[in-house]
Amino acid sequence: MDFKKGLERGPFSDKQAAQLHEALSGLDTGQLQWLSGYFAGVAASPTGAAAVVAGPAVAAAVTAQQLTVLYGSHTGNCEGLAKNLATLARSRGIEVEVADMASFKTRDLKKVSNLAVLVSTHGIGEPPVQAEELHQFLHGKKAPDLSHIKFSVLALGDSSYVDFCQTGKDFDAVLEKLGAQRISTRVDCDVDYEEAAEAWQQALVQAISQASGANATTEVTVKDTVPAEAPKYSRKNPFEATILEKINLNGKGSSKETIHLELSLEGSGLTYEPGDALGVYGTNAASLVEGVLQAAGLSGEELVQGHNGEKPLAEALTYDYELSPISSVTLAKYAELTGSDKLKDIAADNQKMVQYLPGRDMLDLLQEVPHAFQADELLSVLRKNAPRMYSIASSQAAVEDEVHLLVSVVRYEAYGRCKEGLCSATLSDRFHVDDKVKVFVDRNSRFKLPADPEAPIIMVGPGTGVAPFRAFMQHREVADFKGKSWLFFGDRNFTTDFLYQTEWQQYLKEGILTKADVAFSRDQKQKHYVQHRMLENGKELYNWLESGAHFYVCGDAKQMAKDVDGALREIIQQHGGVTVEKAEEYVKYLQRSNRYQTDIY
Amino acid sequence: MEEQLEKQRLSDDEYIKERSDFLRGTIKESLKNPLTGALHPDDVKLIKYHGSYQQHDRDLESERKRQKLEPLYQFMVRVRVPGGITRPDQWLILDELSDKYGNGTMKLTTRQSFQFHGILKRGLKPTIKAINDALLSTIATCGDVNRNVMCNPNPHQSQIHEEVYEMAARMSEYFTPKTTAYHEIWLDKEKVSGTPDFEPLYHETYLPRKFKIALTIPPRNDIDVFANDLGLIAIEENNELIGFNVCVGGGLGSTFGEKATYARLGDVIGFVPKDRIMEVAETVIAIQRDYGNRADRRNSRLKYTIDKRGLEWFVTELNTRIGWEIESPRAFRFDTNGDRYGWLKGTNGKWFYTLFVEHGRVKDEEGYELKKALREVALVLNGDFRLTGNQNLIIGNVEEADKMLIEHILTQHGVLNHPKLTGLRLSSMACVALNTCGLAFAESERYLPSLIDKLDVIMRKNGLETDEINIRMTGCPNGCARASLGEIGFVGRAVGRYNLYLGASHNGDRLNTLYKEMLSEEAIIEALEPILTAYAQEREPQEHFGDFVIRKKIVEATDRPVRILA
Ligand code: SRM
Ligand SMILES: Cc1cc2nc3c(=O)[nH]c(=O)nc-3n(C[C@H](O)[C@H](O)[C@H](O)COP(=O)(O)OP(=O)(O)OC[C@H]3O[C@@H](n4cnc5c(N)ncnc54)[C@H](O)[C@@H]3O)c2cc1C
Ligand SMILES: Cc1cc2nc3c(=O)[nH]c(=O)nc-3n(C[C@H](O)[C@H](O)[C@H](O)COP(=O)(O)O)c2cc1C
Ligand code: SF4
Repeated sequence: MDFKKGLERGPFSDKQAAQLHEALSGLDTGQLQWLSGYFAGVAASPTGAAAVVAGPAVAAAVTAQQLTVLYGSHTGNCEGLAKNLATLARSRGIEVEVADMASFKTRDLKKVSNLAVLVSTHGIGEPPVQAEELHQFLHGKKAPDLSHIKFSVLALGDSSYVDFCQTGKDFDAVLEKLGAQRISTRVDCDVDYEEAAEAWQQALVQAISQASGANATTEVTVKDTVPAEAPKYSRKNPFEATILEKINLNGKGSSKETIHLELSLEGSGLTYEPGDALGVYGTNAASLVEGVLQAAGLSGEELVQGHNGEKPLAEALTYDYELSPISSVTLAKYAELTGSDKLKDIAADNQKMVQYLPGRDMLDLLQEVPHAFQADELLSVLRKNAPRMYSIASSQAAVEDEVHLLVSVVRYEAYGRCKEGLCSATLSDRFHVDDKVKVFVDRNSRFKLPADPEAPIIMVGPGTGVAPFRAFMQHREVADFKGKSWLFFGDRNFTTDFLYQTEWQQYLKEGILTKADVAFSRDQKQKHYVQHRMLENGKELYNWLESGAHFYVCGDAKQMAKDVDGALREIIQQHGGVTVEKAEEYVKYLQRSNRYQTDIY
Repeated sequence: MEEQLEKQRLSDDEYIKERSDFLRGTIKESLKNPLTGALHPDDVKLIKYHGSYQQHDRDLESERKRQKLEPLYQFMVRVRVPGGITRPDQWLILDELSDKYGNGTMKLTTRQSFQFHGILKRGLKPTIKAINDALLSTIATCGDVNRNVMCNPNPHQSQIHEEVYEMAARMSEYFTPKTTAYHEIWLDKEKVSGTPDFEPLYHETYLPRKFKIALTIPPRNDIDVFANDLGLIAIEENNELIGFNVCVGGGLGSTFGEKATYARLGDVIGFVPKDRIMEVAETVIAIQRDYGNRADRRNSRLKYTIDKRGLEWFVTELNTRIGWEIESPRAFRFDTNGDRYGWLKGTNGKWFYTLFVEHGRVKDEEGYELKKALREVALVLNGDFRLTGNQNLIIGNVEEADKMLIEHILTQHGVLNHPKLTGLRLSSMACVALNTCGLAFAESERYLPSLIDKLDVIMRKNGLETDEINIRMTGCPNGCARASLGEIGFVGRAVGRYNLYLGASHNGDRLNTLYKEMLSEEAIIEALEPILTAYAQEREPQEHFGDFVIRKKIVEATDRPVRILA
């Protein structure tokens, strides 16, 4: 139907007529009948007021879509992306609700129509703490029917882990199983997630808009998805920071090598907060590049078009790709390329991969299953050189445009050769004072000092885990926080491995640090670790928690974080005099109220 | 009021002693603190009385500072061995401890004790416990008390040696502090409640400063009797010990640029029959306790107490306190303050092997495995080990039949007939100095050996390679290796710079005199070459180097000769 202009236009102004035309064009008869009934109702009401209210409702009923964005994040990447998605979707007239999985009420799933899930994987293929409950709920007996939901999943991960993006995959599968329909396909992101994540956002928003009849405008610039205050340096465009100071903190005769680095951020405009990490790009050792080239039967001079522009192969291998460790993806690709049954068999089986990958580098792979390569063929199987994260060990309040790191150098012997960590060995062997390192700030909204300066903090940071706590101390000193603080530190030997010893002693002397307990595992026959010190001080630790202390753990994820978590539960149980279940709740409560934060790796 | 003023002038150490509750302080707590390898500052002073010094590895000082690590705190532990005699089984235990808790070496000191270095705080208690289990002790080897009592090993005159040694042991025991703090802290003995500590001799603030006693039997002066606060010279009559000449006021330490401090040899004030010697010794200590300077530690040794009031005053004070008069000194003669090496037969028919231990450091080196060798000797020996006052070792009371075996063990490990054992080296002493001694200005133990290599070139050129010129070096003017009694003496001024002293007697009864200051190694060689050459050509028969340089007026004889009262 159509509204005529002029006399035939009825009781409407031209403008109104035009609007009505716009609003009603393309409605099918059913819709028009519904509307006539609706307007009858409005006319019947004593005043026309309802119509005014109903006005927008009409428009909504016609176009606006709802989108619920759920994120499960540990170090904040998914959280950041979730907020970008919200901005983008809103800019397309979609009504968006963003929620952290931890605080999302599962009964609200009923109200959800469109659902975007952004979730990372932690531990060894496990959901981040924030996602645990929802993950369990959906996989459990009480899981509801979700056939009313349209969804899409963005999975963040790190392909150097065998269970790459496992949690994302879980959500994707379980939502489907519960009857929900996929609006756009899942995207698995490696540590360089920006581009892939952006593509996923575009596709999703597009799909939702299309689903709503509204003719979605597609000329959306990338800017929409980048937060306004984005610094000009980023993971994709790292800053070249000059090394000001480099010290191996381990005393003569130590079995370890832990480097204290001071970098200059001068002129970068980069800022960070205690708890954030710094991303650092390393390079491959010349010897390894050499070895790989030989094994691949290539000279290194071949010009190749890598992800970082055209350059000689040797250069690309040194700076732009990883030769160690090998990622599961690389293994799979290489298996395909070579058609090796042995490798295919391994790549097909997680268990076998877990056995096979650790300790092997690209050279091992090429030697075990040789292949005559084309230069670009080689690149195609390799993982892009991914930055390594280092918890920042300084506070800008104290060091201004410097940033300090504490790096434990990875060296080990495997498969007949001395292996080294790509990034840590770069910082130890290849970069020296005055050299430049490519870095960017990686915010971690989930590891922050309490807002309340009076709140006590308990810091558990053995080994390099102590890094962010040095930042905490520097910050509290300058900001003159009054809250009590308690450090648990541990390492191998007291005389050589007490990282930042003189600084902790000074902080204690000045009362900026209230209490410190240390455990050195190799100074006596029986091994002592931080969790043992916690248990010894259980009563007092519990009292601190009761008086509102925030509990922080940083460092090794494989063993330490688990043992410390266990000790914490034991302490709560014993000194709170409660059951395992209650202790469990207590811990969950601490986590949800952000009083139990971990930065583990 | 007077009291008050008097008190305010006391040195800090006096207050620390006073509030320490008989040397307890907070040592127990300090040992427990896991955040530092050091002790509380007060306890650093107090632990000396328990036989240990807090030190740190000075070689690593600046490196560790940069690494944000505290200094590598470690402890030196000094074992009290009256007269320096230990049993083989005790030796084995000490040897083991040095590897388990220390830096793998043992230091035989210039006062006949053992020292361990490099013990970490957590190793301190087990070490001291083990030493006590071996029936040795560390108590009062340091601190403002009487130290380890020296006694020359004197094997070739054993019939009175036995008795003199007994006396040394008795004094050592009698003058040890009586507080039970030591046993509570290190041996887990509970303090018996209701038994207040009581120090009959020392009282609660102990002595103003360290106090040293040595006994010797002429003609040997190998413990440098004149360097002690109280020196006792054994007097015998037809092979019977009848008593001792008493010398007081010896001490060698001084401070550069402080005229009020100086090295001084003890004066011989009289003779005392052996049955009254304890009484006299105790009274001498009591006088120093009451009159010694407690305000300025640099002027508090007995030598200063005596010089302030006069030697005559001291003798009178002593006589009045004991209530009788000590007799005038008997005649005595010393030939040398060095050791005699190799086998000597004791009058008991047993054999004694005096072994050169370079600067007392028992360790293993490429081709010279001294520590291993002595361990093996200890396993077969049924005699004893005797530390000499020159940082050497006597393998004592060896059966005729075992001589071969012991020589064999020593030869096997390259310890015997070492080509470097020239007369000069055999007569050398050096203090510890770097890297452990906190007071060192320069190297000593780690440097003298290489300097002697160079000087030996000159010695050989002049046919002096077997001449025993006693040559001593210290890293600072405290005189731990008694450098002021060296015919050639070096005292460290700064890293690589030494003062050179000449003209001490060969038997320890005359101090040397400053010859040149601030010498580098080249300058030392340059200074000594012509003098040694002249000595080779122009010396009189049997003339010792120290006497030669004075006759030749290369230096003046010291203006502080030993006084012998009539
Ligand atoms: C180990 C030894 C030297 C050696 O290489 O053998 C030694 C080593 C030290 N002496 Fe000594 N003295 C040693 C015999 C001497 C002697 C020689 C003697 O007694 O025959 C003297 C000169 C005689 C004297 O007492 O005057 C001596 C005069 C000093 C002094 C200066 C005392 C004074 O009144 O001037 C100090 C510094 C102090 O006491 O303040 C000192 C202090 C020290 C200390 C403890 C440094 C300190 O106070 O921090 C040295 C420890 C270094 C280390 O790392 O081991 N040492 N010290 C000797 C241990 C003797 C023992 O077993 O008890
Ligand atoms: C949020 C966060 C914060 C971090 N903070 C810090 C920090 O403050 N300080 C710090 O030092 N590190 C920190 N890390 C770890 C850091 O990012 C790197 O993972 C670490 O430095 C190793 O990187 P690399 O390039 O040197 O080693 P890689 O080249 O990545 O090699 C590491 C791999 O080598 C293999 N490997 C290692 N040891 C052995 C062995 N013995 N046998 C066989 N295989 C072995 C394993 O597969 C391991 O994954 C943090 C990590 C994260 C995620
Ligand atoms: C301790 C730790 C364990 C991890 N384990 C895995 C894993 O098993 N599989 C995976 O794909 N990624 C793993 N990752 C990589 C993270 O998922 C990736 O860094 C992601 O970007 C983090 O996103 P978030 O900040 O939202 O938590 C792990 C990261 C950390 C720090
Ligand atoms: S003489 Fe000086 S340097 Fe040598 S040990 Fe004694 S105090 Fe130390």
